[in-house]
Amino acid sequence: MSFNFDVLLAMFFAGTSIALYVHTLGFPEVSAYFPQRILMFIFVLSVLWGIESWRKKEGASVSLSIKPVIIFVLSAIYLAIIPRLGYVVSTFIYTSASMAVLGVRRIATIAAISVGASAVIFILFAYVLGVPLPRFPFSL
Amino acid sequence: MGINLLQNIALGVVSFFSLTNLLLIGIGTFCGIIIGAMPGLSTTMGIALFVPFTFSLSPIAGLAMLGGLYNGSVYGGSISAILLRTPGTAASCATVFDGYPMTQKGQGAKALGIALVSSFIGGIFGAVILLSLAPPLASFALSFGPPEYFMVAVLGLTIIISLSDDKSLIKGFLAGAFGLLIATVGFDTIEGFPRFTFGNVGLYDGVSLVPALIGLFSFSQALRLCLKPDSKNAVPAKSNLIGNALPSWTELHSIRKTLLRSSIIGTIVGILPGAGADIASFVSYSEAKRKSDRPETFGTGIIEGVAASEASNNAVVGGSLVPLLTLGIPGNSASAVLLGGLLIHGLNPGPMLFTGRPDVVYGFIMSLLVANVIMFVMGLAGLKIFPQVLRVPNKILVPLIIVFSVAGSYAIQNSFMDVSLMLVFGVIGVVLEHFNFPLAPIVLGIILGPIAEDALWQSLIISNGSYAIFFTRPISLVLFVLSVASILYALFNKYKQQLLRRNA
Repeated sequence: MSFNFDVLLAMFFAGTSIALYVHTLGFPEVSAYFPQRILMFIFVLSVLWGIESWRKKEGASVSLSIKPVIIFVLSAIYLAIIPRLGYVVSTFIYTSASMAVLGVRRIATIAAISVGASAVIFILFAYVLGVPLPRFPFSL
Repeated sequence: MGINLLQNIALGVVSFFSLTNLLLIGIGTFCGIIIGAMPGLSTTMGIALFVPFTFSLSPIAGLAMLGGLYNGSVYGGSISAILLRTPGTAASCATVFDGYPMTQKGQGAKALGIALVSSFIGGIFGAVILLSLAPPLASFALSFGPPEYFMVAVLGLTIIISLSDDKSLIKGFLAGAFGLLIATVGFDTIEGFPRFTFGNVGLYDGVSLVPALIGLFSFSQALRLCLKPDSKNAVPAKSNLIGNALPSWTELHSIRKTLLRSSIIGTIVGILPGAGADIASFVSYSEAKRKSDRPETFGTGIIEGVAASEASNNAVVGGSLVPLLTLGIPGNSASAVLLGGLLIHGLNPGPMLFTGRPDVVYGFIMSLLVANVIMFVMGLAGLKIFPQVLRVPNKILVPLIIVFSVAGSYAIQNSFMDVSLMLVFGVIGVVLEHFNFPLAPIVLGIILGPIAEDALWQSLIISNGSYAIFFTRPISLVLFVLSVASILYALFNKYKQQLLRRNA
């Protein structure tokens, strides 16, 4: 028997809306007005969706593919190392690792694209557009 | 008045027409297209970055360059929206709906051609309206107060119905409600109370639209492309021939009403202070779908969908300058920065500007018309080049999209919180799309939520708490009736389609 993940997600939405509604009870009246009505709306819609999915006995299947998960984890690591290693170095490491994970085998291709992408983005954002991207701590 | 207008047009042409100014418009347009095409770099950011470059230029030269950049960046957003499903600017979000499916069908160059022609037509329309009707239209803008803005937001939210698939209206509303909820994060503007920040200082300013947009579309798309790393997108056959990309006369004729309607919508939305090209493109897309004989084809990759979005978002350029030049009230954030460009040259926008410095005002407006022509020429040249990005295999494209997304998200406020939010929204986008949720209503909710809430409270303050204010002001009442009619009409249509499906 397959599990109806739509019902599960609908229950998650409904439960979260209740939890957030309780959280808004500590807000001043004016601040709480809008969020509370939106959360009530979300709760009602979630219940309706859950009932509809349960009655149709159909929902989306769930399967976890490994590559998007790895790329997401690498992206989170990338975000964590930028303040420490600077934008250029972090971007070089990230693009190299990502391409390797996704199946690029030629070292020359990985190196060229990683160096090129880091340089182009850094020059464009930092020099042309004046966005202060984090630099390597030990650079001049 | 007619002779006066002609005299002013002639004065404008004489004032602005020089090789230097044409070159500056070209530079501005080129940079604008590049900025617009990159997710994370907004039109507003581009204009703000270039304003200092105009210090040493004459007023007309400086404004002409900024106008070219403004115009070019709105069009530029369509390039990445069509080819990579990553809208370069929020104004091109609606272009994704049919632009990317066209790319998937091998019609990426055609979609770019439609976007270019539509942007050109919309841009010219907006500039012509600005030229001929600026002062009377300004009084129209003044008649909009908080009750009218609240109703505009409500009317805008009814678009969710047309953005939702036939089978998932509940999911469309859930997505819209989620977007509205996201918009409440941060300090509320009435009490100054931090909502849903959970003690995180980085959330005090709320969730910016751009990281959410980049996450939902760009980053989530990159994660999806990981599933097919060796694939390339379908490169249009004979993509090196411009002729295949531009719409034929038959195609242009078939979308003429859409182009006109969308240009009008874009100009009107642009005139309203606070409503920008993003709202205009959604409204135009929704109207095009509603008025179409085959609304079920929208979202499958049809030229009408691309035309509706692109004509309206470029028409906003001219529209947004109406209240700016006549009243000193910016029509949107981009024109707000342009106001800075005016002020640094000692030009005070308002009625006196038209009579005191007609050479500058009309010179600027004429330069906008020329900027559209230059944008068209540059876009034509780009039609050969842009689709080549489709030849890049996904295993190389994915990391590049992500590093651009990270840089773009960071560039907004130099904040890693925005980048973190972008990653989170990326995951949300993947999950929700897997469960067949439309993503556009989320973006719509984030855009319209603050407008709706602020206008609601301002209206209630004005009326001492009485909701009657929404029904006693003529424009507000008309907008309310339109909203109700819009909902009833859409629900009736969906019910009719369900009945037809059951009987088939």
